[in-house]
Amino acid sequence: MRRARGRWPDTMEMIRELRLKREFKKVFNIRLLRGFLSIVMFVVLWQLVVFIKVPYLENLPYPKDVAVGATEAAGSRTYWFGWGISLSRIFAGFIIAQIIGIPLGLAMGISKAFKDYTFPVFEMLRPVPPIAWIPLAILFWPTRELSIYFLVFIGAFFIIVINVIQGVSNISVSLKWAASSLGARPKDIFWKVLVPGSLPSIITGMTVGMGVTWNVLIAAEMIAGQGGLGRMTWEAYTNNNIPFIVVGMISIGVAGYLCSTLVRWLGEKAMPWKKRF
Amino acid sequence: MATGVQNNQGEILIKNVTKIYDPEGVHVVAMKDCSFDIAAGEFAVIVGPSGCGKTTLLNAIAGFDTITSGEVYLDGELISSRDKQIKPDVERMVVFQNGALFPWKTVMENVIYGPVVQKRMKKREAVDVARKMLHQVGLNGIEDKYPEELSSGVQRRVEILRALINKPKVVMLDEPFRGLDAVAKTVMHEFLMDIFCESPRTMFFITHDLDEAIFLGNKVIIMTTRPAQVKKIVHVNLPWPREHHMLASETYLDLKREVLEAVHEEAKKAFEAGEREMA
Amino acid sequence: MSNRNGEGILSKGDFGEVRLEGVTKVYAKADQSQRVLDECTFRVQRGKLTVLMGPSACGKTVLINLIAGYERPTSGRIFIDESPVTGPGHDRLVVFQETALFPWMTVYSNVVFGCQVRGVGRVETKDRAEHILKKVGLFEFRDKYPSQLSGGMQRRAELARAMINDPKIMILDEPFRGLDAMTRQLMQEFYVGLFEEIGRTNLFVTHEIDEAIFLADRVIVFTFQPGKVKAEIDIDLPRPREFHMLASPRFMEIREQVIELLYEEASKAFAAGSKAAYDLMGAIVARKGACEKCE
Repeated sequence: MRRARGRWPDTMEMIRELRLKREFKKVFNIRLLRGFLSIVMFVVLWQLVVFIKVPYLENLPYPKDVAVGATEAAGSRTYWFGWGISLSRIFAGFIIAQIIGIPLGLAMGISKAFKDYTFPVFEMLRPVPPIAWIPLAILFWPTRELSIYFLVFIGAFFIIVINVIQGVSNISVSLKWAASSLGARPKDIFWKVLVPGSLPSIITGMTVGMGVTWNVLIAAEMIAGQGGLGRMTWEAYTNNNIPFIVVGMISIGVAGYLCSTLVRWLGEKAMPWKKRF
Repeated sequence: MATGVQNNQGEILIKNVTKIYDPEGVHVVAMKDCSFDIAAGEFAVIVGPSGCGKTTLLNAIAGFDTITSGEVYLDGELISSRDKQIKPDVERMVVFQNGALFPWKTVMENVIYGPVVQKRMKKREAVDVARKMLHQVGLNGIEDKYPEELSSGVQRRVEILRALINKPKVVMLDEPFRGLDAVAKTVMHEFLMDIFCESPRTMFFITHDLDEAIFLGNKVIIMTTRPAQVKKIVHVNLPWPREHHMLASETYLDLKREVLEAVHEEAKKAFEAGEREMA
Repeated sequence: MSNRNGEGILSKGDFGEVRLEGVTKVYAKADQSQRVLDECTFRVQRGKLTVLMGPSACGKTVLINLIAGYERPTSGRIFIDESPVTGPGHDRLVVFQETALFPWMTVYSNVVFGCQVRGVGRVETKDRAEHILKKVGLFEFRDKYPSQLSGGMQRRAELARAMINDPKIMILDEPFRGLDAMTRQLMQEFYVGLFEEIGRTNLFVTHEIDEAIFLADRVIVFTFQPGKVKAEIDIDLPRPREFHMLASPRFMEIREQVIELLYEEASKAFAAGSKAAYDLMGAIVARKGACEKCE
C-alpha cells in the first residue's frame, strides 16, 4: 500500500490492509502447512523403516498394506458388527456407572456420616486397576458379556464418584450461604445449588471415565471377549494378519475419540453458562 | 533538590500514534492520533479509563509491541513506527504490576542481575553499588533474604531498584503500587520521590489513583476512552520535594478537582460503551 | 434527604437496626486459639449507611458472618431489632466479595431466586423482578449468564438479587473489591445513589479509605487483630454525595483523621512483628518527618 509522502494513512485504509494480511494468512497458513508436512514425513519415515528393514521393526506392514486392509474392512460386515459390539459394551457399562455413581457421589459429598461409612471401603477398592478385576469378573458373572459390562462399569465408576465428591466440595460456600439467606430450604439447596454446581465435575468425571473405559474394554476383549474391536485386533495377531492389527488399532483410536467427543458435546449442551462470549 | 537531568536524556516524543487491533475482523481502534511529549527528566503520570491506550504506549516505548502508524522518538531517535520497532533494552526499563522478582534469588542477586548478566559491571562492583542503593533508601539488612520473606511493599521497592541500577534513560511503571493499602503506599511514594530527586530520569508512570498521580507527577496526562487520545494535560505546579501536608492545600485540591472531572467524564463514557458492547 | 417510595414495590420504613453486645469470636486450632474479634459493641443505625473500615484481615468478614447468621459468636450477643440472631434469614442479605451469583442461572433466574424459594406468587415476582432490573440497568441483560457480564454488572445483579427481597438490612462485604479503579468509582456512585433513593439500613465493609468516607453516614474504624472498635466517625458531608466531593477540604480532613488512626494501628502491628511492619515503620518515620517540616 502506498501513501503520499507526508500524509498519514487513513484509519480505514489501515484496517483494509490488516484484513488482507489476515486473509492471506488463512490460506497460506504456515502452521497448517507445517502440520500437514509432519504427517507426510511420518508416513514417509514409516515406509522407509520397513523398506530398509530396521532391526525389530521389519515386520511392520507398509502404509499401503494398511490402507488396503482398511478398505477391505470398511466393506466387511463383521468389521462394522465389531464396532457395534464394542460400542454397546461401552455404553452399557458407562451409563450404569453414571446412574449408580452420580447419586452415590452426591450423597458422599453432602453427608459426612454417609461418607464416613462408605469411603473407607471405596478407597480400598479404588486403587485396584480395572484390568486386574478381569479374572474375578469372569469367575463371578454368569456370562462373558456381563463380565465385560462389569469391567467397563468399574473403569468409569470410581472416577465418576471421586469427581462428584470433589465437585460438591468445590462449590463455594458463599453460594450456599447466599441461597440460605435468600430463604432456600435444604431441598432447594440440593436441587438448585448442589446439583447444578457439581455439574462441571460430573462432566469431567464422565470425560475422563470415557477414556478409561476404552482402555479397559480393549484389554477385556483381547483376553476374554467374543467379538468387538479389541477381539478383532487380537485375532488379527493370532492369524498373523499384521496390516489388520494396525487397522484394528486405528479403528479403536477413532471409536474412542468419537465417544469422548460425544461426551464433551453433551457437556457443552448441559452447561450453557460455560460459554464465553 | 533535583540536580538537573544527566545529559538531558530521556526526552520522549509521541506523534500521531495510532494502534488498531484487528482480531477476527472486529477492528479495535485502541488509539488514534495520540500526540504529546515528555521532557527529559520529567515525571509524567498517565491516567485514564481501562482500555488499551496506556499499555499501547508503554509497549511501543519499551519495544514489546508495534504500532499501526505514527512515530515515537527517544532523544531525537525514531524508536517506533509502522515499519520500525526497536527491541527492548535496559535504557527503557519497565516495572510491572505483579511482582517479577526472581523468587529463587536473594534480594542482592536480584538487584545485581541486570548489570552482571550484561557484563557491564563485575560482580563485586555491582554488589557495592547495590548495597549503597539499598542503604540510601533505608532498606537495610535484607540483602540475603528471599522475596517471599518480605512484605509486598519491600518487594516492590527492590524491584524498582533492580530496574534503576541499570541507569535507564526512561523508567516505565505500570500501576506498580496497585493493591497496596494506604499506609504502604505512602511509604512507596516517599521512596520513589527520594530516588527521583536524587537522580532524576524520565518517568512514565501509569496509575488509577488520582492522589498518587498529582502527588508524584510533574504533569498528569489524562487519556480518553477508545480510541484513546490525550484529553487533557494538567501541569502540577507544587514545589519539590512533595510533602504530605501539601495534600491539604488549595492548589492541590484545585488540581485534584480538575483531574477528577476529566477522568470521571471519560470513565463514564468507557463504562457505557462497555455495556453496549456486552449487549 | 428525601426517600422516594419505590412505587410500592420496595417499601419505605421497616428498616432494621443491628446491635452488637460484647461480641467475641475465638477460633480454636490444634494447640493455639486465635482471638479474631474481641468484645465488639456497636450499633448499626436504622436507615443509615454504616461503613466498617479497617486493615485487611482484621476480622471484618467474620463479623459479617456473625451478623448474617452463618457463624455463631463465641460469646456476646447480636440483636436485629431486639430479637437475637440464631441463623441466616432473608431479613439480612449479604453481597459478598467474590460473586455469589449462581453461575448456572441467568440474571433473571438469579434475581428471582429468593422470591421463588419463599413461594412468592408468579405475577408479583415478575413485577418485582422487572422493576428492580430496570432500576439497576440490567433489564436488557436478564437472559444472560453471569459469566457473560462484566464485573460491575455482576455486582449490580447481586444487589438486585438482594434488594428484590426487601431485606431490613443490606450487608455488603467489600463488594467492589477486584474491580478496576474507574469501575469501582462508578459503582460507588451508583450504589450510594441507590441508597439515597431507597433508604434502608446498610452495612458496608471495606478497607479503602476513600470509599468508606465517600459512602458513609458513619465510619466505624476497626483495629488490627484482635478486631475491636477503635473509633466511630460521623461523616458530615452533604447528601446526595457526588464525586467532586473527593476534592473537598472537608473530605481531605476526615481522610487525614482516619489515616492517623490507621497509623496508630500500624505501629501496634510493628510491635507484633508482622511482615508488613517494615513498611509501617518507614511510614511512621516519614510522617513524623513531614509533620516536623510543617510546624
